[in-house]
Parts: sequence; C-alpha cells; structure tokens
Amino acid sequence: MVLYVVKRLGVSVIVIAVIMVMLGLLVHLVPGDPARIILGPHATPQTIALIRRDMGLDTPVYAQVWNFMWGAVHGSFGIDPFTSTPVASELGSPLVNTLVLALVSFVLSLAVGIPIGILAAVRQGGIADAIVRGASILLLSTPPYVVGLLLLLLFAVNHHFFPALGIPGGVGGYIKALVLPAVSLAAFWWAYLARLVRSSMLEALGQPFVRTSRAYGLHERAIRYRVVLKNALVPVTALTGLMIGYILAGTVYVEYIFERSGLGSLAVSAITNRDWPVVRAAVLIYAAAFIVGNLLADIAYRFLDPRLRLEERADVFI
Amino acid sequence: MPEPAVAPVLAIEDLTVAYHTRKARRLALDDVSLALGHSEILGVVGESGCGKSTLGMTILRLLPPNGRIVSGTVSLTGHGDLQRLSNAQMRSIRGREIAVIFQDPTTSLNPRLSIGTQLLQVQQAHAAARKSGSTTAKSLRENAISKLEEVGLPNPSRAFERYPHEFSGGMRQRVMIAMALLFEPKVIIADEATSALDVTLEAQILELLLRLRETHGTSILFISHDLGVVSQLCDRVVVMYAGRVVEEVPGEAVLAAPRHPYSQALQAAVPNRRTRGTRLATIGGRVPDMAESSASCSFAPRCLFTTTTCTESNPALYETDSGLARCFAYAPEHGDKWAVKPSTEEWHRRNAELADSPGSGGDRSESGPLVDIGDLTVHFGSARRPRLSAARPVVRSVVRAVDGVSLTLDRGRILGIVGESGSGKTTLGEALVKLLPPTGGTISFDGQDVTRISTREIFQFRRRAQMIFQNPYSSLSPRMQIGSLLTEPYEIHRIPKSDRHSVEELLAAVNLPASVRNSFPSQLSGGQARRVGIARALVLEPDLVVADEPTAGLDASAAASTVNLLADLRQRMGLTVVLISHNLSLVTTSADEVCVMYFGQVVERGDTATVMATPAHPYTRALLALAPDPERSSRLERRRLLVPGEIPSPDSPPPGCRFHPRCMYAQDICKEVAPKLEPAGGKGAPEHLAACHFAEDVRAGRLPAAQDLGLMAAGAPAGL
Ligand code: SF4
Ligand code: SF4
Repeated sequence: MVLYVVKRLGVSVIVIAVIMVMLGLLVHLVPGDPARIILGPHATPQTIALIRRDMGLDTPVYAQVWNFMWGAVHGSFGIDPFTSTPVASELGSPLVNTLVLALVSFVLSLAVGIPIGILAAVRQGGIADAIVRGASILLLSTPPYVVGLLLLLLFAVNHHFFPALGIPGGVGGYIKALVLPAVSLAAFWWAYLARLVRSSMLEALGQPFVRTSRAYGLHERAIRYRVVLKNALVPVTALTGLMIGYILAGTVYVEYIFERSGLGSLAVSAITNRDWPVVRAAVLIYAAAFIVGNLLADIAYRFLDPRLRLEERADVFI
Repeated sequence: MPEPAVAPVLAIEDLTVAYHTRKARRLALDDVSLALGHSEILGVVGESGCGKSTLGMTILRLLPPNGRIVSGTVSLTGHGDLQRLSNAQMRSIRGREIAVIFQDPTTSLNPRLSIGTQLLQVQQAHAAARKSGSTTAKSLRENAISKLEEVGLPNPSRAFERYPHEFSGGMRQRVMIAMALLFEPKVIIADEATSALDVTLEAQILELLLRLRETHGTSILFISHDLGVVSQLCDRVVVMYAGRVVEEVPGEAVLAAPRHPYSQALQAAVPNRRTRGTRLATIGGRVPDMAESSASCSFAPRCLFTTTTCTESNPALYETDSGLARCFAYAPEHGDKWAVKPSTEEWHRRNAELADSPGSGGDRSESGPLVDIGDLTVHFGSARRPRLSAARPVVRSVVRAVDGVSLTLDRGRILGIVGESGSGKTTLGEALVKLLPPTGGTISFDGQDVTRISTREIFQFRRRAQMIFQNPYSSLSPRMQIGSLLTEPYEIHRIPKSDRHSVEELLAAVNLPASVRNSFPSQLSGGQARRVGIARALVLEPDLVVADEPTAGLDASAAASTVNLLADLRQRMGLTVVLISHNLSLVTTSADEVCVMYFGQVVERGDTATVMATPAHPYTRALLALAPDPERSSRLERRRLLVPGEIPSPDSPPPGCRFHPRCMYAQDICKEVAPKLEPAGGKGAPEHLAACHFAEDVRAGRLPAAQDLGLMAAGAPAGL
C-alpha cells in the first residue's frame, strides 16, 4: 500500500512537472509576439521592451520555463502585465470562491446521490425506484448549463429565493449565493450517482455471499447496510476522481452563468485578453486539483478493495 | 453406523416444492420424505436438476421468490414445523440451529470484508435476537477465533483480520465451516461443500466434518453429485432423481451395491480402477422438467430396464436387500417381470450395446514421437519486477509454474497429466500449444523445434495443436451461433471451401444433433457446450489436442460421455491427446500413459497400468488411495489423511524434495536432496519413472510410514 502511494505520488509529480513545462512554453506556442498582442498595434518599442522584461521574455526559453516552474513551486506566478500586480495576489479570493463552490458541489453530489441510489435499489420495482429512474434519465439528458439557467430563472428571477448574480457580502449572503450554483453543478451527479449506486447495489445483492448472510440469519437491513453497501460503493470511489475533474470544469460555466467571481471567470477573461501569466496560473491550478483529486480517489479505491491492496504485498498469507 | 434415532433431528415429510415462471411450473421436489438422525451424516446425491439444492434451501426457507412449498412439512426438533415460524423466529434458526456450507467458498464469502468482520456479523445478528448470554465484542471475537482454530486454520487470531482472498480454496472452505460452527448448530447442511476442491483437500475437509460430528454430535446433510465422496463419508445415502427419492441405502452400499437403475447408472459412469480401458457407461437424455408429479416411473425414458409396467404406473419405495428403491423390479408383485435384475454390470453391458462401436484404426496412425519436450520451464513474475522496489526490498518472487519437465509423447496416444491445482499442469498444457512462451527448455513438435517461433509460425502451428479450454461458456463467444462458431477457425485460417467439413459432420463427430447449429452457447447444457468446445478444437483436424479439465463441472454421465468421446476420436482420427485433470480415476480410465505433477515438476510417469498397479511415488500412492473404489468400498476413516496440508506458496518451493512437508515417508535426506526422475526399478517397465529417493521401496510397498502425518494433521492445524 505504502509502495503504491509512493509510486502514484511520483507519477503525479512527474505529470505536474510536464504540465508546467508546457505552460512555460505556452507563450511561444501561440503565434505572434505576446507583448505586441497585449499592447496592441500602436505600442512603442520602449513599452514593448518593458513588458517583455516584465514577462521575462528577454531571457532564453529554457530560463523562462525554469523561472516559471521555480516561481510556481514557490507560489509566485509573475506579474500581470495588465494590472501590474502579482498574479498570485489576484488569484487569491477567486480561487477560494471556486474551491468552496467545487467542494460544496462535490459533497452535495455524494450526500444526495448515494442515498437516492440506495433508496431506489432497496425499493426496486416500486414507485420510488420508478421516480428516481425517470428523473435521473431526464437530468442526464439535459445539458448541465441548461439546468443552471433553469434554476436561475425559477428561483432567482421569478421568485427571489436566492440572489441571481454575483456574491453579496456577509456570511449569510455568501452561503445563499452558493446554493444555486452548487445545485446546478451537483444535479447531474445526483442523477449519475443514483443510477450507479442503484445498479451496483443490486448487483451486490445478487452475489452468493448475500445468500450466505441470509442463510446465517442476518436481517435484511443488516445485509443492505453492513454487508452490501461497501461493495456497492467501490465503483463510486473509482468515479470520484473523475467527478472532481468534471466539477472543476463545471465551475467555469457556472461562474459565467451566475457571474460569480472565481478562477473560472478569471481564466475566461484572461484568455480573451491573452493575459498569459494569469492563464498559466489558472490552468496549472486546475491541472493540479484534477491530479490530486484523482490520486486521492485511487488511493481510496485501493483502500476499499482488499484484493488490490494485497497485490503489492510480498507475503501471501498461507 | 448409528441407526436413525427415535426422534430425528430434522424430519422432512411429503415435501413438494415447485418453481413458477410466467409460462410454466416446474416441480423441483416431489413428495420427498427423509429423516436426519442425531449426529448422523445423511448423503443426498443426484445429477444437477434433481432437486438436491432446492432441498437445502427449502429447509432454510430461503427459496427464490418464484419457489413455493406446495405441501409437506420440514420440522426441526424443539421447533416443530419450520413453516409455522415467523420470519424473525426463522432468522434466529438460520446459522444458529441449522448452518450451511456452500460449494464455492470464493463467492460465498464477501471479498471486501475481513473474515473476522463476517464472523462477527453473524454472531451479532443472533446476539440481537437473543438478548442474553455474553455478547461483548471481546467474547464474540474469542468465540470466532476458537472456531477458526478448531477447523484447523494456522494462526487463527491473525487469520481473523484477513480477507478471504488471502486464503487458499481449502482454507476458505475451513473458514466457511468455522462460520457454520459459531453456534454449534444441530444440523449442518453441506451443499456440494467439497466439489470445488482437489482430492487431497477434499479428503481433509471430509475428515474435518467427521471430526466435528464426533465432537459436537452435529447432524450433517451432505448434498453432493459425487457418488464416491458420498459413499466414503455418509452413514446413509438418499439418491434423488427428478425431485423424488429413488433409493435409500447405507453409505457403503451406494457404490458397492446400488439397487435402483439410476444409482447403478451413476455408478457405472464414475471411473474407477475397474473401468480402465473401457468405455464408461452413460445415461442417455436429461433429467426431465416436470410440471406435475409423473404417473409413471420418471426414470423410465432413460432406464435400460424399462418394461410396460414402468410406464403405466408410478413405483413406490420397495425394500431391497440393502435398503429402499423406487423401482418395480423390487416390488413383490412385479419383481418376476425382470428376469435379469438391474445391476451395474448389466447396465454397463446394455449401455455398450447401445453405443455404436467406435470405428477401428485411424488413417493417420503412423507411430513415433509427436511431441518431445526437454527440461521445459515456465516461470512467471521475473520480468514484472516493480521498478521502485529498490526503496523497499519487496520483490515479487518468481513463480515456477513449470520447472524442468521432460516428456515424450507418441502419436495416437493419450497422455494423462494429473495434479492438484497449483501443480502447473494447466501451464504445461498451455505451453505445449504455445499459448504461453516457455522460459527455458525445448519443445519439438513432429520433429521440428517450436520452442521459439515467430507469431506467423505460431499461427501455422495452431492448425496442428489445439487446446480445449476448461470453461466452454467463457471460451465460446456468447453472441455467435454454434454453426458459425464451428466454421470460424476455417475463416481465420482461410481454408478453401473444398477442404472444409460441413457443420453437420463436425457436430456428428462429437455426437451432437445437427439441430444445435442455430443455438447460442448459453442455450446448451454443460455437456453439450463442452462438446462444442471439442468440436471447435477438431475443426482444423489437428494432430494434438490438449484438453484441460474437460469434465470439470459436469454431471457424472456427461463427464463419462466426454471422456468416451475423446477416446473415440483418438481411435477414429488418430488424434494425440493430452488429458489434464485433477481426477486420477478419470485419467487412468482413458489414458495410455500418466504423468503425475507436483509443484511444477513431474514426480511420476509411466504406463497407466503400471503406475496404477505399482505406484512408486508417495504422492501418486495417496492419490490412488483417495479415489473411491467400489470393490473395497472404503469408508473414510479419521486419521487416514495420507496427504496433509496444501501445496505451499508457489514462489517458495520447499528445499530438497518438494513434496517432503506433506510426505508420510519423508526422511532427513528428503529435506536436503532433491530426488531425480529416475527409473523406479520395476522389471518389465523400464519407462516407469519416479522422483523419490525411496521409489523402489514405495513401489514394492516396503516402506513403513516415517511419521503418521495423518495423526498430526487431525489434531493440529494442517497448514504449512
Ligand atoms: S421402475 Fe422401471 S423404468 Fe423405473 S427404474 Fe425401475 S426398471 Fe427402470
Ligand atoms: S523423496 Fe522423500 S519426501 Fe520426497 S516423495 Fe520420496 S520419500 Fe517423500
């Protein structure tokens, strides 16, 4: 197990390093002189030279890449040429907003999706099951941003339950503003998880070891929650890594729809402006979050499945 | 043999159970009555579909939703009719008064929960219902660990924390038994409890069951398809056919003197030392599906002794000299209609008359060696050493699946390879047909070196050497019809149309009706699917066929006809066959030569008759002794274990003779010096080889057991 974690960690570090190198080269992969693009056609050679120096474009390419990586590791992403402030300080509060949104959506997805799936499996063939299955198909076939827009219309525009756009001040306001974006991100996963949990639970209930439990007098409730649930949740753990990625990606359009300040909206405007330092920083953060999420999910998966855990162990018992 | 006590522990009376599907109703149990006495072991035998598993599930009231008890009662002493109990009451009986051991311990235990958790869950289920006795976590744990110890798990408190996959099959089955013992139940239902195990492990588990009966006075209902095992273990045996009890006899009699034609047919299909070189008898047809209780003898369509009486009315259980049989031949008022009373020999004779005699002499019957392998090794794991392991010295060790095997196989012969799982026999077979690359040594095929050949040459080679896989369902594509499955090899090898056989011919060669050509594999019975697998292997008219456990999972009759088929094909087509099996009796019935493998090496090899008559390796000797034999009708006795323990971990072979930890003749020299495969010293049999320092003495039966490992294993954990 330890060996596995070390190995996976090593691979993750390598992947992040490769991404960093590519991001460092990003400026040069896009045609045109970055400084000129930023300053527009009427810039004087002096200002261009100034910007080039600010962005470190006057040093050799390998040094640029190295500087970027070195800076990134130390939490510095250079100076934003548009605002002349350090990129790191610009990222601060949008990053927090995005992470809060992603985390809340993630927890909300699991906290609602899994119980719904269990309910549907337990009531297989009943009304609850039919409703869950119908609703989940509906949700899965609706594009997530449509769900977001519908929620916005329904709860914020037509009825003013929640603020429509932006993030008002105060803790209460912050939380209120979080509800609709988080739900619109989680709704897809409710549907997805409900179906997944339902089917894996039913599959587990059909296994011979369930027959053993019955033959040994376990109550159906004990069988459901103490014998089968763990087996049924394994595919969910395998999925969480992917979920983290998708939810992060989802924050981009959710922030756009709800006009929230966040990493996503920042990245979108930075890309339109060709604001390379900000783009680089944002992409790196997304990538890192994605990789760490996957890493955690893989480890959890290993942990839940004793058979995989064993693989690395040298001494097979007996 | 204990007589059934006055009041049976478990009594089943007139039990009728039916399954309902939307379209039909199927009678699974038809008026079954039986009584299980105190500390009695009662065997229930029959082919699959005879209702024996339904019996177990009915007792526990765990029939699938579409199963229903139509009439009859199941009563347990102290509880009366179990059907009258509430669900909660019934739950408290399951596991506490009646416990079950299922066939496959791999799937019957939850792979994601530790052994301990599973044992605790069972105890907690009943602790809640009972609300008395000491139910602290600690005492439950101690109880569980003591049961694990009782069933012979080495290091039980460590085992408690482990997961099922960390145990071998035999140990897992012991865990299942420990679970059954948690509450010292009155009755244990063993549903095919040893069917998935090797003979030596099976013998150990049977011995364990005998011991439990002795120490706890438990009554055991032993459900099995294996006549031999049942005869060795059980006090009394009930033979079931089509949901009815057709014979009830004392344990030994079921092999030695069966009276009902069905029991006789089953016995005739089981290979033993007398069936050597003969065709095994088979039973035509299948167990019928019946909606209603039949008005005639339900065995009549398949019986070889049928008279008009049999189809007119339904026989009752009549007394015979050994027990009861549901056959008119024993009815006082009808008995004289049978000039020749049904007997196993007669069944053999009549069966042989029915079978079309195999054509003589193949057209490809040149002799001379076809396959010659020298010092072949197949090792796994050496190349997959994890890179990062330098940080921690955890290196996956090399598994020597095949470790220095030399063999010569002549054309048109059948070579049987016998060994337990883990002996490397399947790996050897796969290496022979180039499904696996050898790590070392040479293979030559028809005079040509095929050890290292290109992919292209392997493709050519495959036309001449084919493998019949163990599981026909997983090796046949489920989405293709049988007809296309059979002609697919022609397409793959681009055989011109003129050189092809028709599907009908191919099916006829394996005794299948042409009508199956449009079926899908899932629609076939196990025996039929196996035949399709064989037919597919024969499509390209190979010279060599390697059959891996061709009878695994088949009923006796289907197994017998599969073996017969292989022998016929050898006769008709001059095929060379390698028959791989863990069942020594099966192999000796049809093979010309046998090769016994242990731990990746050949420990004994020779002409079948010689090896059977004078086994020169202790392992072979033990395997032979474990095979049921109707003549000696041996009851399994306690402490006659012969081979204790299990094959040790595959990556660390014991030093010296690899068999020494389990050998009852082992001496000091065995622990240090590995014996070579050498002539065993028989006069007329120079080709009889054995790898044992004392081969000559073993062969001559001169060697006294150095230590009674059997005794040791009965008392102490049998692990290594
Ligand atoms: S009653 Fe007739 S058909 Fe039935 S088993 Fe006896 S001889 Fe065979
Ligand atoms: S060499 Fe020794 S340990 Fe090996 S089989 Fe012979 S007697 Fe047994």
